[in-house]
Amino acid sequence: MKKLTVLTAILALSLFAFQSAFSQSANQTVTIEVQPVSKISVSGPVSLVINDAVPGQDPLPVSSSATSYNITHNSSTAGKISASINSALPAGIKLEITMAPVLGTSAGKQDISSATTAVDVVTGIGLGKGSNQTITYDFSATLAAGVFASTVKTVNFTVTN
Amino acid sequence: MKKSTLLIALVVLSVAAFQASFAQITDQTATITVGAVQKLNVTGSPSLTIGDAQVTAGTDLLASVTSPEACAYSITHNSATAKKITASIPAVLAVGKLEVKLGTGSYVDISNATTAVDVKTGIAKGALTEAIVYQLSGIKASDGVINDSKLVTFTITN
Repeated sequence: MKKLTVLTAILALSLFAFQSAFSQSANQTVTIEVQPVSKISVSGPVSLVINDAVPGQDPLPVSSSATSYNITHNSSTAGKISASINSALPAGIKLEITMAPVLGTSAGKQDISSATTAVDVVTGIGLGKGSNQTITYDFSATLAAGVFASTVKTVNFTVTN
Repeated sequence: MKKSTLLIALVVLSVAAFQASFAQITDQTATITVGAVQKLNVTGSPSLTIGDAQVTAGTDLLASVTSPEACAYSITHNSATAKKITASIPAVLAVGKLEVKLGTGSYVDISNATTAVDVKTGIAKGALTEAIVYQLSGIKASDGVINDSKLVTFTITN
């Protein structure tokens, strides 16, 4: 009986040592989430000055493609870019905008002179990114509008789904 | 004669009692063993989120990193042989890169680690608790919205 007890003890210890010699593991669940992201940024300010005309005609319009925009969009729902102006321009003063269609379809030249409510300038924006995409401003004025003193306007671009 | 017999009997009994009062000595062999011990556990529920705050317009999505306080591991082993910890995941990460860093070590890519990869080596015997930091990176905007989870298995081994 005594021998059997000793044998059992030795066997138990051996089994313990055997098991310990194996590796031991621990698990951890890592949650990964990429949320819907729609971001847009624009490069510096733009300045447009009308100061010339062909005799007998309205002042010559001016255009600038000096600024650009960057966009990142990862939602499977098509996005769009809309533009608005902080306050409407007076009659005879026209400001138009055209945005390059890097991820979607450009709406072409859009008049934002009175766009205190946003107008779509690029639609159907798919997944991806785009940088340094041209923003073109066209500025024109009628003779009837007269002199229009230098005025700062804020154009707000919004990317939404 | 009767008195002397009684006296002798008393002496004999006294001697016997005297001897019995001394400790009785015997030997026993005690076999003691400290077996190989290696224990590992992890704490925390790491969550890696990339949202607007991690994105600059015109670029792909930036990395997300768990805070060092978020999770940790503790290890105990008593072997003269240095141990290592490996990590594995059940299935390859579909997009991006998932890395893990134990303590002050370097990030180790476990994105494809269906076969365990070493994440910490040369662990001498003793007890140790350190932070586990995860980093998710390499996600492109074109990868879209992602909701996923991975079970990371850490193993202590030789």
